[in-house]
Amino acid sequence: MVRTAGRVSQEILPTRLASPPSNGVKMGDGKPRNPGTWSVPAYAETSDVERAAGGDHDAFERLYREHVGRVHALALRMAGAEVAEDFTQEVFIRAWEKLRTFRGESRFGTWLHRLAVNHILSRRETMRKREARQVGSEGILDRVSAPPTRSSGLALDFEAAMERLPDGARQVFVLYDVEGYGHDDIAKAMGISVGTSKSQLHRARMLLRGHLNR
Amino acid sequence: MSVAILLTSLVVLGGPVRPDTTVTLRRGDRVQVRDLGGELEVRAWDRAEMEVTSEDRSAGNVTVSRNGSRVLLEPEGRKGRREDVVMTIRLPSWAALDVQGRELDVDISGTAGDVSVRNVSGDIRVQKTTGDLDLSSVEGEVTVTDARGSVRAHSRGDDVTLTRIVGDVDAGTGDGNVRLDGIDAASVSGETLDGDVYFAGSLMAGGRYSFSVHDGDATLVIPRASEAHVTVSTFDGEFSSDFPVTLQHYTGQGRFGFTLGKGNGAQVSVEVFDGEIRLRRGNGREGGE
Amino acid sequence: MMNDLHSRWTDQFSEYLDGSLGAEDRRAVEEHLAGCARCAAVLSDLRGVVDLARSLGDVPPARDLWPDIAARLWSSPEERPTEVIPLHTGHTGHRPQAEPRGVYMSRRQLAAAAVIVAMASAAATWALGPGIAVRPVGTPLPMPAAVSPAATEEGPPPAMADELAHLEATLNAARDRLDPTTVRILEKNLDVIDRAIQDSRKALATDPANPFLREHLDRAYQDKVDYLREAAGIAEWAG
Repeated sequence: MVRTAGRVSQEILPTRLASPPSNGVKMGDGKPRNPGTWSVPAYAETSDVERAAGGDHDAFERLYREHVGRVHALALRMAGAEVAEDFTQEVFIRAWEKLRTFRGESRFGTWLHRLAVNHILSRRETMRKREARQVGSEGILDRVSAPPTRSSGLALDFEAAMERLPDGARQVFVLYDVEGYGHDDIAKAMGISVGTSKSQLHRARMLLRGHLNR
Repeated sequence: MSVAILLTSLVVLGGPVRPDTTVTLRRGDRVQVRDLGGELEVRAWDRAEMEVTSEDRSAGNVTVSRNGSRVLLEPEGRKGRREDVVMTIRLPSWAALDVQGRELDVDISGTAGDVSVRNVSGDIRVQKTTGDLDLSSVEGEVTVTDARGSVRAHSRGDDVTLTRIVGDVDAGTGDGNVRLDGIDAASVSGETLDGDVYFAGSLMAGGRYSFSVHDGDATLVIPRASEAHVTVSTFDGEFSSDFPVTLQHYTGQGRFGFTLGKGNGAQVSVEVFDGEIRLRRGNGREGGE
Repeated sequence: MMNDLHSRWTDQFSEYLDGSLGAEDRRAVEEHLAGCARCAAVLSDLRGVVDLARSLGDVPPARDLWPDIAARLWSSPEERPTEVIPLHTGHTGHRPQAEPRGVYMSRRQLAAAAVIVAMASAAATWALGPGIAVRPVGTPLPMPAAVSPAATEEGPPPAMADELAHLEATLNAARDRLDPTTVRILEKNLDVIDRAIQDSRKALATDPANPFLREHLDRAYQDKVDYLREAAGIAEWAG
C-alpha cells in the first residue's frame, strides 16, 4: 500500500467523509441543532476564514471560539475524556495547517467537522490499544451496564455509558446517531463495510438501551 | 546489623520478603526486577536501603535474593502461576535498576543511576531522573519527562513521548507517534513506521539529528538562528518550511539538501516515505504540555 | 439477554428505525410487534436511545485550549505565521493573496523534481543549486539527468537474509511456549513492519533507480531484524 486511501484523502479532506451528513433529522432539515455552531452569520465566518487563511491569528481564534464546543464534543464522545482536549487542540492545529485546502465549497464548520472526524479516526488505533490494555478482560456488557460514573442527569449518564461502549460501536454510534453521517460515509471513513457499520450501530444502541431505564 | 541478617536469611531461605521490608544496598549494586506483571512504582530516597511495599500485600509474592552486586526481585515460584503485583520499590538514588516485565506498568521517579526497562505490554513512565535510560515496551507507551542523561526509548505499538531532556535521544516506535519536546542534545534519532514524529529542540554545532517516518508526518520546530545542513528525502511526501531555504544539492527522486544559516552547525536528516515534512521556527522548547 | 426467538426480530430494529428495511421485512416486523409486547418495549427503548443521541449538544472543554493551540502554532506571539505558498499550476483556491513567508513543495513537485526555493518575503530571491535552472513558480521542471542506475533487488540485503530466516524459525519454534497475548502482540507489530516493507518494495518496483527507496527498504528490513531479535529475547524470558 504505497498510498493508502486514508492518507491521500486526508490531503483533500472532504473526500474522506465526502457527502454531507445524510441524516436529515439533524443537519439537513435546516434547523439549527447546535446554535453555538450554526448561528454564526455566514458572511462573518467566511471573512474570518479568509482572514485566517491569510495568516490572521485573531480571525483564527474567533473561528476556534465558534467551533471548539462542537469539535470537543465530538472528540469527547468518539475518543473519551482522557484525550478529548488533546485531540481538540490537534484538530485546530491541523485546521490551521490545512486552511489552504479549504475551498469554500462547503461551510467552514462542515469542513472542520470532517477534518475533526478524520483526525480522530486516524488516532483511533492508538486509542483502541490503550483501551484494550486498561480494560483488560472485563466483558463489554459488564462495562456498558456498569453503574454510570456520573449521575447528574440522564444526558450525562448517557454520555458516560457511551464512553464505555466498545471502540468501533461507539464511533459508528457517534457518527450516525449523534453527528448524522450515513453508513456509506462512515464505512468509507472507518475502512469497514456498510454491513459492519450497520451492525455496530445496532450493537451500540442495544448496549445503551439499558441506560434509559435507570 | 539486623537488615544484613535479614538479607542473609533471605538468601539462605529464599523465602518471600514481607511487605515493608528493607534491604541494605551498596554503591555499585544493580537491582533487577524480573518477570513481574501488574504495576511497579520506583521512587528514590536518601537512604542506602531498598524497601519493597505493596498496599495489597502482593509484594509478599515476590522474593528478593542477592548474587554479588545483583539484587534480584522475582515472583515466587518463577515458572508457576504468576500473580500480578501492585508494588512500590524505594531505592537509593544511585542504585542502578533493571526491570523486565510482562504486562507491567512501570513508573520511575527521581533516580540517578542507570535504568533499563523491558516490557512486553504495559506503559513505562519515567520522570526527574539523571542517569542513562534504556526503555522499551513492545506494546506500551513510553513517556519520559525531565531527564538528564541519554535516553533510549522504544515502543513497537504505541507512542513515545520525551519532554525536557538534556542528553542524547534515540526514540522510535513501529505504530505510534514519537514526540520529542524541549530536547537539548547533540545526537537525536526519532523514528516511526506508522505515525508522526515531532521534534522541538535546539541544534548544536556538530550535532546529528535524524528522523525517519514511513507513513506519517515529520515536524521539526527549531530556533530561528539555527545553523544546520539539512537533507530531506521523501518518496510521496510534501515539504514546507518557515525558513528561507537555499538549495545546496538536489539528487532527484525526492531528495535534496540545503543549509540553514551558514550551515556549519548541525547535520539534520529527515526521511518521510509518505507524509508531510514541516520545518518550523520556534524556540525549540514547547514542553510542559 | 434477549433470547434467540426475540433477537431474530430485534436484530432488525435499527434498520427498521432508520427506514432501511425492505418493504417485506418491514411488514413482518410490524406484524410481530403488534403481538409481542417484549419486542415493542425494546423498539421503544431503541427509539429513546436515538432521540437522546440526537438531542446531545456541544460540550466546550473545561479549560480554554486556545493559549496552548496558539503556543503550538506560533511559538512567540509576535511571530508571523508560516504562509504556505501553493506552487501547483492551476491552483484555483479562492483564498486571498497572502504575503509569502515560507516554502512549500507538494508531492507532485517533489516527485517531478520541480525544485522550488523559498523566500523570506514577497521580494524573494530564488536560489537554486548548481545545474538546476531557475523557473517561474509553477512551471514544471525537467527531471535532473544525474540519476545513478541501481539494481532493483527487492529482497533483504544478503547479509540480513540468513539472520531473518533464522530468527523467524526461532520464533516459530517458541510460539507454543508463549502465552497467546504475547504471540498476538508480537505478530501484530511484525505486521506493521511487513506492511512498510511491502510499501517500499512496491515503490521500488515503480522507481528502481531511486536510492532513497532502496535505503528505506533496507532500513525496514533492518528494523525487522532488530524486532525479531528483540522478540526472540522476549521469547526466552517470557516463555
